[in-house]
Formats: sequence, C-alpha cells, structure tokens
Amino acid sequence: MKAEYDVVVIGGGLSGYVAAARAAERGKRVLLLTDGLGSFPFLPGHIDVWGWAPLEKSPMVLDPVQGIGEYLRSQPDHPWGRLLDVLKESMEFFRTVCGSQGLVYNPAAGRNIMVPTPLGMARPAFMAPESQYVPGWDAADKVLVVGLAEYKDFFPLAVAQGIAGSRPARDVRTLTVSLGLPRHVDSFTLAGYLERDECREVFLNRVADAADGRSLILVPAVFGLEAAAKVLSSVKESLGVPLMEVSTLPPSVPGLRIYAALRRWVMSRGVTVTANVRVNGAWFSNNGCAGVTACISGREHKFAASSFVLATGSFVSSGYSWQGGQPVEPVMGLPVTLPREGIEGVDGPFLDGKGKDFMRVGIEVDDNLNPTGPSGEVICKNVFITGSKLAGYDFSVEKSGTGIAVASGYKAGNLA
Amino acid sequence: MSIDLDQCVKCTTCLSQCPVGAVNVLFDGPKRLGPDLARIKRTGSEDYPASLKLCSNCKNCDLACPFGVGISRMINLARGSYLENRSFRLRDFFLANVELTGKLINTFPLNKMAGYFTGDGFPARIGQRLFGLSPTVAFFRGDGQGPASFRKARQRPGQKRVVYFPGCYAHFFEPRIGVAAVRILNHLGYRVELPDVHCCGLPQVTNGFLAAAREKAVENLSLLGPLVEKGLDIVTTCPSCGLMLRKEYAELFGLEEAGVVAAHVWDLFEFIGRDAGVDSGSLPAIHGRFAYHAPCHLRATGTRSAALALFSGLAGLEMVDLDGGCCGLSGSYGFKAENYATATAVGRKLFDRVQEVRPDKVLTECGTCKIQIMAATGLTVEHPACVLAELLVRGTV
Repeated sequence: MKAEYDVVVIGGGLSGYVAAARAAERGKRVLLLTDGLGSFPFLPGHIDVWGWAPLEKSPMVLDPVQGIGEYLRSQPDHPWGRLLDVLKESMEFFRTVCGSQGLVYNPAAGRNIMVPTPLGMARPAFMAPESQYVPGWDAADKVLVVGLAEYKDFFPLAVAQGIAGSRPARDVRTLTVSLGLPRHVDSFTLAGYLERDECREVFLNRVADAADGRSLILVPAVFGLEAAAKVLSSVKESLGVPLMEVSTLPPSVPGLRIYAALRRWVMSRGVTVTANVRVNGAWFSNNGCAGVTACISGREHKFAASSFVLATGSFVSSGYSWQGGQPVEPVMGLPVTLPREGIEGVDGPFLDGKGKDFMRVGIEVDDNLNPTGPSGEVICKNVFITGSKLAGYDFSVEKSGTGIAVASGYKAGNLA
Repeated sequence: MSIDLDQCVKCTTCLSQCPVGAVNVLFDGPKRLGPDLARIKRTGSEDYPASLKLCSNCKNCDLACPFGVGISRMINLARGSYLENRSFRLRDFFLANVELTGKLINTFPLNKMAGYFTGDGFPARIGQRLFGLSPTVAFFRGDGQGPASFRKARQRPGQKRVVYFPGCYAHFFEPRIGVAAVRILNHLGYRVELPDVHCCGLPQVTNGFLAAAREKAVENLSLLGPLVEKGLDIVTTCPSCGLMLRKEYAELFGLEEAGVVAAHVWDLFEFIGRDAGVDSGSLPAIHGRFAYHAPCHLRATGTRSAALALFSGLAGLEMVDLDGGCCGLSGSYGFKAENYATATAVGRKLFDRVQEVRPDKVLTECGTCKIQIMAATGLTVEHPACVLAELLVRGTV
C-alpha cells in the first residue's frame, strides 16, 4: 500500500495537535485523525509544567525545573525525565505557533507565576496568555471583579474573597452587570456575543463608573474566541484600567482559543485533519507499525505511514479501556502499566492532594517516547506516545498536564 | 433508551462547537436538546422545548463530543416526537418532500411557477413572503437540463459495475453533477447502474416527518440491498445522502439491513481514491486559485476530503482549504424565513474566509452549501465532480 503520509497522528487533543504542528514544520506530510475535541474545552489557558510537588508537605513549586529534578530522584520513571531536554524549545514552539495566530503568550520566565483560579485562589502556572496574566496583578490594591448576570458559572464574590483572603487589607469590590441578553448563556456563547461591538458597548457602559480609579479589573475568560485579542484590547483601552481574564468552568474559552490557533496553524502548513475517525486497530511489518485502521460507517479504512504518534489520551477519551480487570490499549494493543503499588479504587477522599492511582496508568516509553515492554525493550521504533497516554504521572495533583502534552507532542513531532 | 445516554457527562463540549448556539441565544443548544432532554423524557414528561426547531442538524455536536454520544440523533428523534401530532406549515411539507417538490417543479407549467419563488424580482419576493421562505431561495435554480438527464448519458461499455445514488439535488435540480459522476465512473472502467432510488429522507427527518423518512429508508434499502449482495458498491455525490445511507438509517431507524448497505457506500472522490483511477499529475493544468469548502455532513461521515486531495495535486492550480465551518444553510433550514438571520450569521466565518482567499471558484460537494456560498459571495461554486469530468474530457482530446 502506497503511503500518502509520512506521519499519522492519532488523537486531536493538545499533544496530538502539537505533534502534528511540529512534524509539519519539519516538512513531513501529516494526517491528523481526530474523534472529538480532546481536552481543549477543559484547558484553563495557562500551561503547567510542574506546579505542585505531590510528595512534599508544602507542595507549591516556584522553580519547576528544580522541583522536577527533586521529584525524579525518587520517581525516575516520571515522563518529565524523558522530556526535560525539550522543555524550553517546546514551550517556545508552542508560544510561537499560538502567537502567529494572534494568541499571545507571555514568554516563560522559567519560574512559575501565580494565576487566579475560578475561585480566586492563586495557583502556580508556567506560562499564561497575555489576557490571563498581568505582571504584578496580585499586588494591585484596588481590584474590581466583574461578573455577568447572564453567565452563571462565574462567581465574582468567590473570586473577590479568594483574592482578599491572600492579603486582607486589599480593597476588592465586585460588580455584576447584565448584557441585556434574554436568558442565561454559557461561556462559549458569551464569547461569541462579546465579539460584537454593540454587545461590548453595553458591557463598557455598565462597567465604566465602577472601573474608575481601580488598579485592576478581573473578568471571566469569555472575551472573544478567535477575535479575543481585538476584543480585549478594545475593552482595556475603553476602561483605561489593566484587565485580566480569570479562567472559568468548562467549556473553557481559553482552551478553545488554543484549539483554534493550533488548528489554523496546522491547516495552513498542509496538515490533513480528518474528524470523526475512531482508530481501533493497526497492522505491523518488520519495521514496526505499518498502518492503522478505523471502522467508519461499517467499513474498515486504512491509513498507512512511516511513523505514528499515538495521542489518544487515557480512559476518559477511550484511549484506554478496562477489560477483565486490566487496562487495554485498543489501537495497537501496547502493554499498559499499572502503578507499582497496584491500583486502589476511586473511593476515599476525592481531593486529598494525593491523586488517584488510575491516573498513573499508561504506556512506558524510552527517551524517544517509543513504547517499551516489561523489560524495557522497545516495541515499535516508529510509534511515539504522547500526553496523558504516558505512564507514571497524575496531572491533576502535579499541575503538569499541559506542559507534558506540549513537550511530548513536540518531541514526538521531532522524531516521527 | 439509547445506550450512549450515560456516556454524556454534561461537559458542554458539544455546545462549544454548535454554530447555531454561537449566534442565536434563543437556541437551547445540543446538550439540553439532546442528552438532557432524553433524560427528562425518561421520566415520562410530555413537554418539548420549541427551540428543537432551531437545530440545523449540521452534526458539529457529534463531531465535538469526546465520548461518542449521538447528540444529533437524540435531537432528531425528539424533534420528530415534538412535531408528530402538531399541524405543520404547507411550506415545511414541500421542503421535506423534496422528491414530490422536485417532480412538481419539473412538471410544466409548475416550472414556470417556481420562478415566483426562486428569483429576486418582485413576484418572487411576494411568493417568498407568502410561503415563509428566505431570500436565499432566490439562488435555488436548476441547471435547466431536466430531471435525471444523466440517465440519458451514453455510457462506455465497462467490465465492472457500480451503483450511482444521485440524491434529489442532482436528480431534480443539477443533473450535470450526475452526468459528471457517470462520466468519471465510466472513465474508471465502470458501467453505472441507476436504480430508481428515492429521496434519502434527510429533509423529512429535519422537518419532523420521521415516519415518512423511515419509509424512504426502507424503500431505498430494499432497492440497494440486493445490488450490494451482488457485490456492487454505491457511489454518492451528495454528502447528506451519503450520511443517511452510511450512518443515519442504522442509528435513527435501527434498520438492521442498513449496516450491510452502509459498508458499501462511497463518496465519489473517496471511491476514486480507492481505485487510484485518476492521477492528478496526468490531468491538464488549470491556472488559478480554487477554494474548497468541506460540507459538515461529509466531515460527519469521517471521510477525508478526497476531492481536496485530488485537486491539490493539479498542475498550475492553487487549492485553498477554507476550513470555515458550517455554511449555515443546512439543507432546508436556511430556506425558512425565520432561520434566515441565523443561517447568515452562522456562515459569516466561511464567507469572510472566502473574501480573504479571493478564489476564482469555490468547490464543494453539497448542493445547499453551494447555494449559500453563491448567495453570500456571488462567486461561482461547483461540485468538484463537474470540474473533474471536464478535465477528463479535455485530457483525452
């Protein structure tokens, strides 16, 4: 079978798109097969590399590279052990790609910055979009938190209390304004509406008085989708006060902005993106994987290439299934590893900061992200594993998910 | 009870890709009208939200769902139940029964009367107002060849046989697409079978006539089933007919025999690709810039834009993938006056992209996408089959 493509990327989440982008930049002919939007609607917009050291008593990490180094001493199989070499260039690549589409990220300082959560508490992040991070924001003394009456998933009072709690003397006010819409709407619909001049005009008129004399305004991250840069700069200009978007509950508009930027970029570089394709099999030759197959409307479709990036995610996105008490990787049947200590149920305290065992389930890889077997032998030299498919980490307690996705996607795109 | 209802975790990702929800705040959106409503129905509630009528059935919710929930199927079934025992507008009846409408329009003297709706003169505007049709209808004009003119095309003898499913658009309004398809399939060495198939039933589904749509499905399957059993493949040039045959007959109506037929249905360009029958390098050069619009229903079948790939390989031609999302018209949706503003707003992104690219011509497989893009941009829009057939003719001279 003649291969139309050099690289087939399976999975259209963050790591899949980054892998496709990097491979395309290297001049490869890339096919990206997607089934759903991946993690994009859940991404807060910031990129995390290492925010919390799960083994420490006071886990907040300020220097992520140092924090990872310390963690690797006791947990050498953590994915960052195989990705630190591309950390810097992968972040820069991501920043350049997004920036070229008008989604500007502040350059990573190397140290974590603090960003507000939807509940107002500050949390560490590695890199943030301009709209979601104003340097020195946490020192601003006259803060105004603005909510929107039509948007129920953002709580100005909670954000205000979270901020005030960190330094009680601060003057933090809240304001909820109506945009005059006939009903409650979600973040995404709101973002579309705020791209309209007349809708933004209503917002500005109703906020102007309260904004006067404030040193910082916090708003939910719903100010425009693909036109966000234009929307935000016009709002900032009109109010004359630094403005910062706070990430929201899903669907997260900043995540969808990343999706739009990456998608536009890969398509402009000639990547073929095919939606609604659930890849469910593969065939092999002496050189490794020869192609993958998908059942589309009752017919098997074949996709041949010289290398493959497996970016199908973990259990939530059906990247793994659970059969007969064992995790199964349904595309290539690669061995999936359980945490060394075995796996406990998901009951018990939900947010105890220790994470959940099933999150660490995944495929073991070598330094080239090739899948490895029980004794460390490489199974397929032309298959690369990325993102939450990787074994041995729990992004929810480490605050490492988006960073590992970007770095592993970049590395896979480099090698594929 | 659908098995995928429990797979919905209410993450709202579907809404984030809903083109209608993005521009019409009165639309409840795919999550509420799909899985949420299906859950409420299990309690025996008889209430239906009126905004079920605002769904354009573009399928972008299905494409976005990370968990494989058949959202649009749930909406279509709910809309069918909602409209089942209600009185309907005459207009909706005619928009739904394209087969009947197509026959009427093509029958003298009704083809003249159709001019009272399709056109932008004064009588047309009155007709549109009277029937609740949107101004986009003005661009709905046939190619004047007469229905199913492709049946008359003389075929070259071929060893292999294949079935062509034209769909109502190519059958009644633009038969030159059918002529092109027959010519291309001939070129690949196929003799083309043209059974008397019916409307795929999609317009009936979206207008709430589910029982009638199911009848069409049963009739079509009884015609196509035996041909498939003989080993013949079925080729479509309409993405929506393709989607019905490949997915919806099984998923919406639970027709068992649908699966057998579905596995043999091909989009024309996908079929060309399988046979590797047309080498774009050997075709005569076209000089210029074409833009390609991928219809939502083609993307929903999981089909690669095979036409785009083929044309991208042509000498002299700059081929641009518009990637502008839904055109907004969505079959009969945008022909209704009350949906005109929504349909136009949905298509804005695509229209802007077209203006930015400034192509000589836009290629798209879908007949109604074509009408919408023509109406909004004034450019020539063609089915890629028509362009390819012409190149094949030129190539052999």
